[in-house]
Amino acid sequence: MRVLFRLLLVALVLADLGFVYITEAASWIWLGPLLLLTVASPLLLPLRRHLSYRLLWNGSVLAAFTILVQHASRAGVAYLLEDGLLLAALCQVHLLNNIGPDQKPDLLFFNSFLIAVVTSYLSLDLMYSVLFLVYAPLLVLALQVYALLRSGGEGRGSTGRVLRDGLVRAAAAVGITMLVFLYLPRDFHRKGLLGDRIRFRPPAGMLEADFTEEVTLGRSGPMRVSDRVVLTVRLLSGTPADVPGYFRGATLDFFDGRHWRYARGTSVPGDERWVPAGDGTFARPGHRGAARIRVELLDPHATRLFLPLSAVRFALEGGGRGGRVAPLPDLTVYRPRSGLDRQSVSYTATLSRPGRAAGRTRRSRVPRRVPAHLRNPAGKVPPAARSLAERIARDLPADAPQRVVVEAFRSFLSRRYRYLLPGQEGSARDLGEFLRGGAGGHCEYFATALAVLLRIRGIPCRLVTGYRSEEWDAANRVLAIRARHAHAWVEVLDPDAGWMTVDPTPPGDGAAGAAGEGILARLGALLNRTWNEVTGFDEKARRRAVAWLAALPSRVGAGIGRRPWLLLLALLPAGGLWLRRTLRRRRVPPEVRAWLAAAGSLGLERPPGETPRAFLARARRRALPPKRLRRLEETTAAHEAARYR
Amino acid sequence: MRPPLPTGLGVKALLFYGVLGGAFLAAPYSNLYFLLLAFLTVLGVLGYFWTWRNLAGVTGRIPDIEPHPAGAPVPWRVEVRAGRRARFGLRARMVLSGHGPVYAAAQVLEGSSAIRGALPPLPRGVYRVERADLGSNSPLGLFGVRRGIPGPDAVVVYPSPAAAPELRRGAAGLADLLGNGFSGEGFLQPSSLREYRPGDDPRRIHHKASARRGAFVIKEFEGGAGNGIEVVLDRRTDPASLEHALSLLAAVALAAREGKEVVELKSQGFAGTFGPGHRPFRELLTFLAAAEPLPAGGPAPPPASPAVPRLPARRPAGGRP
Repeated sequence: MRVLFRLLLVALVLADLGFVYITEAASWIWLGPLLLLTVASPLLLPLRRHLSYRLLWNGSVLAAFTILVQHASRAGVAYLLEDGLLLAALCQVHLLNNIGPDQKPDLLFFNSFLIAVVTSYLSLDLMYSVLFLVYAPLLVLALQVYALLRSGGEGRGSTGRVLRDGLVRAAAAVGITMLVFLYLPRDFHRKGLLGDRIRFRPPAGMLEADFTEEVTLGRSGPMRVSDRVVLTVRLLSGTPADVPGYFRGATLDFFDGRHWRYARGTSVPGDERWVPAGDGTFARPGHRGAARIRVELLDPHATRLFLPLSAVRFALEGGGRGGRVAPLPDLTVYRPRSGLDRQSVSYTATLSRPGRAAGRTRRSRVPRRVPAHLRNPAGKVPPAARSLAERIARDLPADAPQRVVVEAFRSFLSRRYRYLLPGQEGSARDLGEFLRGGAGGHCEYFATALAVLLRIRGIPCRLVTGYRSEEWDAANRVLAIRARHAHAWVEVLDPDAGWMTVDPTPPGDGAAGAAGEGILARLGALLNRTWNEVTGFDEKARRRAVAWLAALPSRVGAGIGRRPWLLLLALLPAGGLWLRRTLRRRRVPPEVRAWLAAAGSLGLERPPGETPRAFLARARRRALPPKRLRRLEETTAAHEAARYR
Repeated sequence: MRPPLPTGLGVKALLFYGVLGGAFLAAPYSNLYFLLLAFLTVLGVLGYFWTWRNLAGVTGRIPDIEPHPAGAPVPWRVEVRAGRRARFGLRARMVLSGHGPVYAAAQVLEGSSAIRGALPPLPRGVYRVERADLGSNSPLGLFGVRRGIPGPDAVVVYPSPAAAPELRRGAAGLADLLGNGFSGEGFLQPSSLREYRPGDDPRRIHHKASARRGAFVIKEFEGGAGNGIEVVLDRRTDPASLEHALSLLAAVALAAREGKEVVELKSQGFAGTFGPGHRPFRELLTFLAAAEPLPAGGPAPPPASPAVPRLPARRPAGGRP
């Protein structure tokens, strides 16, 4: 049992390291040695007898601790959780390698749960659920075996039984937890006492694939791609085809050769604007809606409301209780920071049909001369861009409409250039390198290249940042948008249709997140959807779940009424269990069963070790119903005859 | 059965839970944090219920513990009826006056079974059993529950018996006594034979006669409070001498019990004949376990023939015993 307990502790610490791994709070330089020391702990433990080993161990732990504390003090509270998480993992490995057979591992249990809690803040992806499903039985089993060890006694031959029992208990605990999670009413928008004072950012030096209001080319370093859900879009009316996958956050029109930014206050004459319609509602008059969506912005730190270009009306839920918003001239919506009252915000939006130019600019007022902020800055564009623009345009007729020109440039980039994430080998360091074709790039490079090339051709355009997702849950009519769906594309000012979305990034860049066709891909998508239901659970989802559970018996009844064979199918396992139990009971001789039944009917306690004859003698001394006593006498005689014949 | 109470680990877990709950309230609502906190809550509630259920319906008793010599571990057992369900981590406890609790445990029990343990080597004495109970912290170790069970009144630890050579050296007259007394002559002699009756001691079956007759034949004995092995213990002595004397007497008593002989002991405030047909040896051993020295001016032991050996042996003037 001690060996089993030690193995369970090792597994528990491995699960903790798994939690730390999925947060990407620690690199392999930290995790590798910790992993090795965890796995090797049963071998290292006997070395604790030697003073030199203990000195070496404790010195190393102190050194690691100092490095972590130094980093935490340099990085500030923003990385408090990440540093704390790594420190907790270090403590776990230290404890595992130092807990002797007579020492209590209580701290190891608490620390391990703490790691699970902190990880829940840093990683919401499906991997967390998988790890938790491994972790929960390990914790229950470790506690159970620890309790048995503390009680003492012999445990030989009982390992299998304890493991089976522990797994059943863990399953029961997880099942009941899920019911509590579904049923218990609570405030899903509760503000904490500390609000958003602590923000969770990726570790220093690591880029995170997420929405940004400014684009800087040439950033390098490892990229963190998170599955964290940032937006959920529920289709209230219309069809999924009415909802474009592009959700705009910000437009960037000023480019200085490396940075893109929004030139505040600039707009194109004739651009439409959001008009306040009262009670937190804004509209673009003169448009008809084809579909309605409800967007939930799950990131409480988001400074933008994300809407498709085809949005013609939006309304904050609760009449603007979700906070103040400021619509901008580029049809994006700014959400100012307002201290501690940040929380997730929901809004509904009405969309016009795609292709109906929701970003319309009145044709009569489209400027003949491209505004300065939509032009390339002089001397900032790499020479490769001009030669490339001439090369693409060479194949086009001189009088080709703008739409044809735009498509030719988009298609050229999309087909000829490689998509690579920042930090990947072969990714470009600047726009020139990318345009020369020697290096690949991510969506920001593709969008920048197209914008620069089109501007060279005198076509007004701008960069847009936001999210692009095609992760539709058809059953629930929900589009999930994750941090990794962050994207950049181009909007071109069409003289006929106004602003048009053009995306030069080649398909298959991983941003859309469309599920594959294979069984595994579909299973993965199903698991992802289920997990998203957990992480994005809210009051409405709770009500739906409760209503579904409440209606379950009647639906089961109706289902059985339609297909009675279902009942038979459901009863089969129960019948099997009954048969098994009956067969097991039959192994006990009938005389013994009869005696047990007769003795049980008297309601007397039977002390251990008492023979039927002694029990009968004791029963005779009591004032018991004669009929039952007679029955006991008969069965005792039959029992003795059967037992000693 | 008393309701379960938190163990040391349980108290720490409650504090930890309080800290996590505080952090949950301090931070904005998070589904996963809530899920983890719910898991912890469910685990606590189930831990309480499972601990109670682990002991519910379990009955047990600690049978009488045979007197054991001082300085040797004393085996003991608890008869447990655990019912059909498997019970985990059952721990029997016996609180001995003047010593404290002693434990015996079994990790998994089912049906009627026994938990076996061993008392640590104890000094001579009669240890009253103040409390006997069954307890469990399983399955999660966060809560503990106990229920009382019937147990023995006392644990008797008699003096460590003297080895045979010492026995012969220690008391001059006792050597003869051993030589004669354990010879098998005498006290209860088979007097006649009769037919077997249910309840007869099988050890009294006369096998040769049974074989001849084809039915069990029983030896009948006759005898009475004859002399057997008769010893006088004078407790007006120093503790070391008394201990030595008690050790010799323990050896005599054990040897007599082994040889189914009778021992008659006379001491201050205590006199009796022990053996088959008389008072059980247990009483003698209990007396030896509890005997205390008396002051020099205390009462004399009951009168006995001068031929009866006395312990501690009187020293001849100027010589060794």
